[in-house]
Amino acid sequence: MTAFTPEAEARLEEYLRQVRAAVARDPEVSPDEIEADLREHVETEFHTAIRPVTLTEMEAVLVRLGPPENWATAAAGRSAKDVVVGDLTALGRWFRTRTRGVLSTLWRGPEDWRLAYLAFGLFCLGVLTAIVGIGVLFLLASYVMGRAATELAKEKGTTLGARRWLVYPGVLVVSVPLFLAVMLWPLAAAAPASEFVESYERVARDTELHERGVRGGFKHPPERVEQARRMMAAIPGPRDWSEPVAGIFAAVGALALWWTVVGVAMWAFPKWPQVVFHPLLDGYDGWHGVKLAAVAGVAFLIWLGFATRFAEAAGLT
Amino acid sequence: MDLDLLANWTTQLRKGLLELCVLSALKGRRLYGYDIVKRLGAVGGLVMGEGTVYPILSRFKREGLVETSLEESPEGPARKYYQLTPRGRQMLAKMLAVWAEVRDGIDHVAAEQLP
Repeated sequence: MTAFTPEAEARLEEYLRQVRAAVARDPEVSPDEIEADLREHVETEFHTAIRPVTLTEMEAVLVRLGPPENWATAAAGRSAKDVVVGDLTALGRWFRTRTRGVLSTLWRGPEDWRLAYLAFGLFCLGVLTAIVGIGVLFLLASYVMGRAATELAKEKGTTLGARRWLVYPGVLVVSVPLFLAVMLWPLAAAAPASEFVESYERVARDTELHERGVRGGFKHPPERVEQARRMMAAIPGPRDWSEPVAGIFAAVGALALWWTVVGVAMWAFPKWPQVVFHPLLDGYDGWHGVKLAAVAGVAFLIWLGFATRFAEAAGLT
Repeated sequence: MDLDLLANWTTQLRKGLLELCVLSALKGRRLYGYDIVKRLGAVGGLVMGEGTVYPILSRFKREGLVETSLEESPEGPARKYYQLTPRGRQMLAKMLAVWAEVRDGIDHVAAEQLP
């Protein structure tokens, strides 16, 4: 990789910006491709440089490449009508050439674009056929193709560039639900906790109705009634909220414990999160796992303190 | 006025010829972009800015006239090689035929003017 002085690098980026602007209106060329070609051109010009390329040296190469505004000469000197008719014709031609280009890429490559098109095509098929159930298979296939495209770009030492718009829908449709499922499944602990409290709340309600002689009341064993009374008294807030409060409390504890485990696992195996949840955790390193484990661990200890006090107050210990 | 006319005519002429030369440069071989640029740059009066070759290559690729392959290079960055597709070879043959016809026609007209 050739090194540039900051001034030379800034000048190159400015030139490439001008190139993109100059060719943006021509639907028959790819700005990304031209930019990649120009970067390769500049790299090749300076590949023997033993010190960072200076602004003067960069300027000499850019002068030889020529001013980008002169590249888009086709649109110059046309009337408004010509422009409209020409643009509509160009649009039609663009669709034809794009379709032909996509088919050609699917048939002959290059492989990175072929994988990207396949990933997006399978994603579209998956969405369209989701209603009949088979869509899940297409979405999974799209995920696999997208991951393959990503790995290929990594192997080549390049970025996905514009291909990310083709690759990411299929990848995200799997990795986002997977990430949410892995991180949030302990929320399921809320349901049994709510049901547990609800059973005591029902005892307390039945007893109250029975004592007031209201029809529907029911007499429970005294020790069960005493347990329910202590349980209801131990839960803060209005009694109508006791079930959701218990559910939320249990979910918080379960999440804190689980995230502590996940944080430790992420610290011990730092590559796995990037691989499994790409591209969500691309910037992740092992210290993020340590931080997660530390924060979640402290939260769990605090939760444990409240839980112990609650258990004592409710007579569960 | 004359200068503008000449400049416009020269630009159009160069544009068409440059496209022909890009395809001709790839006849029977594959070249990477930088190599194509330098070869055509050596042809006097043809390439006014080396960068003009790259949009042509991009358009030819979209039109299926050329295809590319990326290869590692021991001398520097990975190189993107261009080569003609079967459609590109057919187009080159047709363009060369038209060019020969035009060139012969111009020669013929010029010869008739001689005293």
